[in-house]
Amino acid sequence: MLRNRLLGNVFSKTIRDWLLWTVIAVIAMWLISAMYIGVMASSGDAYVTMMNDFPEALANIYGQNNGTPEGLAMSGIYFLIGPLVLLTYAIGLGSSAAVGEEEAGSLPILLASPLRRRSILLAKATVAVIGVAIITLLTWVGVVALAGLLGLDLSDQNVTGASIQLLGMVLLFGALALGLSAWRGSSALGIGVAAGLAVLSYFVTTLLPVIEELADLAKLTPWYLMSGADALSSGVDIALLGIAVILAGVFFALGLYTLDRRDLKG
Amino acid sequence: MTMNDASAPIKTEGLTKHYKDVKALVDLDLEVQRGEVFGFLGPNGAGKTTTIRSLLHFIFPTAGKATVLGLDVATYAVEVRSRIAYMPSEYSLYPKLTGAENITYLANLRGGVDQGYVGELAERLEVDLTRKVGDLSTGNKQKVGLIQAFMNKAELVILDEPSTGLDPLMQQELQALIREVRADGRTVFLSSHSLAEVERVADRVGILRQGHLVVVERVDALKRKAIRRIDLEFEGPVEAAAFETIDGVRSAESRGNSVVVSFEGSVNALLRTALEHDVVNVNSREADLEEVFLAYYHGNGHDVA
Repeated sequence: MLRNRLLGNVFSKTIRDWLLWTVIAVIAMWLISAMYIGVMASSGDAYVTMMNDFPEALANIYGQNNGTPEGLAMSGIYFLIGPLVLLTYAIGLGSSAAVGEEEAGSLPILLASPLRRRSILLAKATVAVIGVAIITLLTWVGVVALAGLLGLDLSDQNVTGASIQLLGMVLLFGALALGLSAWRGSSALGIGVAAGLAVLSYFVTTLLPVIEELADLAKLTPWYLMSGADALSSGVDIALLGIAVILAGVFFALGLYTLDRRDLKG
Repeated sequence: MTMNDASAPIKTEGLTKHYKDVKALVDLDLEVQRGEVFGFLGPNGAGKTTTIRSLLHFIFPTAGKATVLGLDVATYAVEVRSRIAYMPSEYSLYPKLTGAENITYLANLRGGVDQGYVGELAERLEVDLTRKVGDLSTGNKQKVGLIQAFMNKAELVILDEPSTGLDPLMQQELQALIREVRADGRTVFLSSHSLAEVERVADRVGILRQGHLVVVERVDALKRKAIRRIDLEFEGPVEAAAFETIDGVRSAESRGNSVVVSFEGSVNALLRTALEHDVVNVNSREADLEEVFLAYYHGNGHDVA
């Protein structure tokens, strides 16, 4: 039986454990995509007119777009609601990879086996990264299919670029949650700081540009990868994406290093 | 890798662990011999689990070193864990998996587990492995934990308070399993706060108190030295002074028609004195840990490590 086969090692067991969350995240992304694409395909022009009357601060909340129904739909998916789903998944699983077993009390039994702490973390983090990548890929597939189905023309929208930029940002916050949780053995710390910074960076990115003198500060936030870089029109910003991936790697490496060198709890 | 099969299964030298100002373990020198059941006794908070977690390299000692099966645990933690079995005092299995799935997963991670022996253990411990662990009682979860500890027939089995939640019959089965490990020439390190539990199976006992190893002794010698208590009920009042001068008696106290005597060593002289009066009833009980400690602190201070 497949479910029993997935009990062969930590990697496959983690897939088994997190499969449901991954499926839920994909369905949530598809529903969000269907909502935005459906609404914009049927009454997008009315939304564009309404958005034009919004104050700048409010309009920024939807992120950068080219002012078309297609642009509004994609910024809603890749800037506003989509990241919420993906960040929840990545931060939750990043932290769980680091200290999930330790906090659940199953680590002593697990480590009675000939396993290194770092190999457990590595296996779980790999599953989390694969999960985020699969959700992003299936969201892309869903967006393209739904747009075709509902008659929304995405030829001016770089959906692939936005997907890759979103993936970079999500991995960064997920790795931050993993690193902090592994360092202190506390999911509350990892999740709290990563989620707090994500919310903060969202508001900094959307609200600071309203104040001309502070507009450049917005470029310091990870969320800038999605809005300021305007991936939907310009595609992937390799430099910004590189920084995000390197920082994610640093957080992950620090998590591995500190986990190997601290007392386990419980 | 330096590996010596003739070396002690467990050896610690000056093993010390401090948590900020708390001295959880102080300068522990301990050597467990191959093929013995070693009882590691102490009240809750004495440092037993801290010792075990240091042996498994779950925590880093403040000072000192530990070797398990001849391997330095700080360097060869994974190799050590590939040759031992461990049952923690506090742990969780995977509640959404059945008992069988839990065992399958852990067996896959360890390798070399005979599924037939797993079935035999489940039968002996009377646990239904088809049920989800989250639905099992505390005692049945403990049995699944015991199966994972015994299933791979490890050279060294470390058990931390293994009888928690087990009924008396299952405690006897556990003792039988421990004896079988010894009969196989393998070693058991049995941590417990109950002298009664340990003395039934252990060859030697180490007693830990407030992070210090008080004594390492053979079980029979330990019991001989322990202070015990006996309640003698007579037909009428009897003076306690009649017992105070008997060899080994620490204290005697009259309570109505009874005399409560604390003593160590042989009970013969005490009973002979009692029988000079009309004895109605005699109640005696096993020495508990505190009484054993008292024996070493008061009577044999030189034994205190």
